[in-house]
Order: sequence, then C-alpha cells, then structure tokens
Amino acid sequence: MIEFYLDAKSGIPPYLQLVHQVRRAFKLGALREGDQLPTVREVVTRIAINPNTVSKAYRELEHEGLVAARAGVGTFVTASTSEDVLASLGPIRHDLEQWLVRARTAGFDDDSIEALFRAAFRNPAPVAS
Amino acid sequence: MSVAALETVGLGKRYLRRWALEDCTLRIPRGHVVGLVGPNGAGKSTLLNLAAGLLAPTAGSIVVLGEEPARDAAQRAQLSLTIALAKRPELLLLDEPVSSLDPLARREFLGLLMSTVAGNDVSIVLSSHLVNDIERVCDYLIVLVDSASGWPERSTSCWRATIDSSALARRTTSRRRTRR
Repeated sequence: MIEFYLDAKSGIPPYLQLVHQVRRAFKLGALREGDQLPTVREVVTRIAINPNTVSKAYRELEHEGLVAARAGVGTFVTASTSEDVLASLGPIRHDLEQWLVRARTAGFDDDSIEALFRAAFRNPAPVAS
Repeated sequence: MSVAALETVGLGKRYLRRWALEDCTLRIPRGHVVGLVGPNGAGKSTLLNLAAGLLAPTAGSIVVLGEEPARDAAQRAQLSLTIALAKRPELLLLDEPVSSLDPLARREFLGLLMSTVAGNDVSIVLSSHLVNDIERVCDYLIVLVDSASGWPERSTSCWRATIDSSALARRTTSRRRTRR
C-alpha cells in the first residue's frame, strides 16, 4: 500500500502533495487497478495532518477518475494502465539510469542534469527514422 | 506473583495543606476491568493522574506495569490525551499541547489526535505559539494579536485560513486589520 509523506519545505499544499504521490505511484506501476488507498484515519495517524486534507486529495483523485470510493469499504484505484506501458517501464528506466551514470561521469551536477532533461523534454530533437 | 497493572504503597498526594489522596495501598492485577468509584473529591482523578505520570506523589510509591509512571514529556502528553479521549469528549481544549515535545513526538501526538478526529464528531481548539507546529492539522487558524496592549477591539484580529499552507502565507502577507 502507498505510504504518503509530506515535504514541509516544498511550498506545495499538503493535499496536492498527496495527489501527486498517488499519480506518480500509478504512473510507475506501484499502484494498480483494484489497489486500495490507505483510509483517511490511517493517513492522518501516520503523517499527522487534518483529515479534511486527505479527503480533499481523495476527492480530487476521484474527480480525475483515478480512484473511486466505495462507501464503508475504502478508496480504490479504478483507472488502468496498459500492460504494454508497464512492461516497457523497466527497460526505459534502466536506460535512463545508465544515461544518468554517463552524465555524472561526464561531470554534470544534479542541477545541470535536471536543466538538460527539461530542455530536451521541451524541445526534443527530431527522431531519425 | 506476576507484574501488576497498577500497584501503590502508602500513596499520597497533597495540594498545599489538603490531601487529595492519602495512604492508598492497592494492587490491581493485569487483565481486568477495574472501576474506580467514589464521590467527588475522593481522589479518583488524582490516582489516575498519578498513574499517568501527570502528578508526582507527595508520599508513598506507585508502579505501573512494573515501572515508575512515565515522566518524560512525550509519554505524559500521549497518556493525558488518551485519558481525555477516553471520555469521548465533544470538545477538547488543548493549551500548547506540543510545545514541550520534540519533532517526532509532536508528530506522533498530532497523529493520535487526528486519528480521533477522523470519523468522530469531536471539536478541538488547540493553542501554539508556533504556527508551523499545528498548521497542517488545523481546518482554521485564528490569530490573536496584541491582547496585552489593552485595546480590546484590537485583541481579536482573527481571520480564517484554509488548511492550504500557501493560502495561509498569502493571507499573512496581505493581512490587514479591519478595525483599528
């Protein structure tokens, strides 16, 4: 089950941090269709935030169609990711990790690597066919 | 003989000249539900507070689960909250409940508090001199300003803040006193 955390220094509202964490876990295949999110009580006990903050995050995710609440049971992931995407996740991540090693070996620091990634992400080079 | 849940020998607690509890010797074995009965002022609450480590005995000794009652701030806070919650209150008033706690104990305490709020109809008003300590557990923050200045109309500069910390920051910077 997903374990939430809060970064107090990020400046991002707590409810949005929870939303992001669920989205990210879903994209990375850590949360799959049918998985249950922790109950509001479990979350607030663990990370000491207001229950309404958690409810707000869950409502937002429901609105997005990522999860659905079943009365008296809990909140479950209802969206599905294609198996093809999940299958290619491992190799793509592996490539990225190798690329990171190369960038670090070449002397790039974390800021430079992030800047480089963002630049390439925004203006991708044309793919040679 | 196994370790008792609660054991006291000649236990007493005096407030100024009045004894709230005197020469109390008892042994409560583990695994039982035990009622404390008696009229107001008989010493029920004093005994419980002594057991919770909230009070120190004036005389005698008390041992809870084989140990001296918890004396560190975190355990005391946890215990006193547990005792308060056991009464299923509709309103809890907590005065600086986390100010003596380290960050980890603070989080555990507030986690326990929030787990009570979740799904229960309980209202909580808690104070803190540091907004950061309690901001994320609160629906609203009321800020009292200048209460010592002797200007009652200025003493209640309060405003609603959402639980969203960025909104709070916005409100703080754009803060204006409505009455002056």
